[in-house]
Amino acid sequence: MHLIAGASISKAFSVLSGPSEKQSVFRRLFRPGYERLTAVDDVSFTVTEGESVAYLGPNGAGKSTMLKMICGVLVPTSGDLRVMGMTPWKDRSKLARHLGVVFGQRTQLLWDLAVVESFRFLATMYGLGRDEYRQNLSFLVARFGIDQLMHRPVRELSLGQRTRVEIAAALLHRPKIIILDEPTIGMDLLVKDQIREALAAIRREFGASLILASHDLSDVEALCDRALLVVSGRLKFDGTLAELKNAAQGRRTVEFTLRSRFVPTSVVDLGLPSDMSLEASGGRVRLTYSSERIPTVDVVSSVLRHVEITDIAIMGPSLEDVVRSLYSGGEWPDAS
Amino acid sequence: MLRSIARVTAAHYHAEKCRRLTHPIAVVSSLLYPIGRVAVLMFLVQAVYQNRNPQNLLADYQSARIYILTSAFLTVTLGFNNAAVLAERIRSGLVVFDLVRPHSWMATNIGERLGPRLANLIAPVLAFLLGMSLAGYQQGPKYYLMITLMVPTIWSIEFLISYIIASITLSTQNSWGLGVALAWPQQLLSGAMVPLVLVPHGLRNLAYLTPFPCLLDLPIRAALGTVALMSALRIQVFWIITLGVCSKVLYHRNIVRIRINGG
Repeated sequence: MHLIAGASISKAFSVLSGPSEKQSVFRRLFRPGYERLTAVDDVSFTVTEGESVAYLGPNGAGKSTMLKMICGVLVPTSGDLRVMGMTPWKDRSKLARHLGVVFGQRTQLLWDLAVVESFRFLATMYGLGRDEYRQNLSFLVARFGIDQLMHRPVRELSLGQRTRVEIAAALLHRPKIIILDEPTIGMDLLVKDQIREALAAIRREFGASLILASHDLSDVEALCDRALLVVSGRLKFDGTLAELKNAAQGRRTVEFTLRSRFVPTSVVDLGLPSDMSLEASGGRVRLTYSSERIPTVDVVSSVLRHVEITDIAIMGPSLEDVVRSLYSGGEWPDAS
Repeated sequence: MLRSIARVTAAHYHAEKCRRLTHPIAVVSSLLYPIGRVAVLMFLVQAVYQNRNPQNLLADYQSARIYILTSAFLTVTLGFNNAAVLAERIRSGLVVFDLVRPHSWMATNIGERLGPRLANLIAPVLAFLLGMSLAGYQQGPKYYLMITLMVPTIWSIEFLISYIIASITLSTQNSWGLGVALAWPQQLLSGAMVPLVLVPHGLRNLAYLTPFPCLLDLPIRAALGTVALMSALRIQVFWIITLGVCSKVLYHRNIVRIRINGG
């Protein structure tokens, strides 16, 4: 049985349109103009129990909207969505017991109080018994390494510390589905690693499914088995991370470290076709191209004819390269 | 529903208590605020009675002063700021956390508003008793019993008005405009700004067509014995039912239109 099953889900919002030339402020007060904005457009997908799924897409692609529909906060304009056999917006309160949600840009912690008070607050809110609360809390405190933070006011925590506490708080009631919306936004590498390790351990312990919306693809690679990729509200890819990388099979990146002072600003400066992408910074030039269209040996020899180099590195596509290419209008594999 | 309200109230009660202890100056301030408010209003009423013929006013000087003291106590005890707080959570998107908790939105909002009010009950009660004692007003136990009985009904009416505003905000997002639109009629027509016995007839008659006098004017006059208790309660119950139905309809109509941008 699917834990989450969505069929042809769409969500459109009516937003106040900008004033037209004919409309005065006074007239707009009585006859405001609205336009329709489609945030999610005919998306179908499923998530099975214990699965870990990344929900990817550029800004404004409708990721957060979809996550909020899964939580029952937003109601789809059309389509059918079932979460644990329930209709989220109709059974919101019942479903909430099984969901642990983190919104990376908002906090549910009690800002002026010690961290432990936020945990007590949530324990009362979810009706956790004393033993259950203590057991879950000690497990999460150990996993996230937040024992030293428990008696400090939330407002005094650094961003990384607060995020660890935030995620731990969202998981206090042992949810079956963990929904993380950009949880590691603004974190340094060490904190990210710590959060990823903790989340992986908690998923094993709770047997929970994870849905992760993030722009950080290293989060996705560390935590997820599968990716859903949306652009402008439409689902463009649904498959494993390996399949996603294969979608860009044949793409190559070559990085040259330059000896010469001349730094090319476009691929034409290197005698290469204009459909290749070039990034130049700090004495390095990075070329990305399809090896099916132009062989790597031709690229290297053309570059060597125009500039002097000290080093060269040839790379296959990273997940980041693949997704960047797909966001910016690259060829799409079919959404399965 | 009741269990949900109890849980959310308990959670917020505890949080507010901790908050108060973190900022002890707030305890002192909440004790001084009602005393200061009463002192200023007493001064104004004295000025009114000295400069106008008391025969033209609906209440004698003593009643007007008790009215003000009781009104200040109820205003501070009940807060009367629910609409602003509820709408602000929608405007800022924090309502998303209210909607991912295992309670209905109404239960969450009741508990969220009730908990802090209960935690802050002691200061206004002390200030009120102190004010009554210092002013030398002798009121029988019936007066205090009536005020106590009226507190839940007044709070319910104010909460339901705020809940209606918040339900509208779910779709309009214009919490600021709605807050401004509600603030002055509530202050003026409830008797919080100036006792309704002192305002012109036309405005008083207009006020009695709205639920606002049920917040202060009606209960205080019932406590003072100028309106029958049962009659005051009947009017309050009428407004609780009417506002309850309206709030339910508006919530179901608008929750489907809620918009919360960003993660």
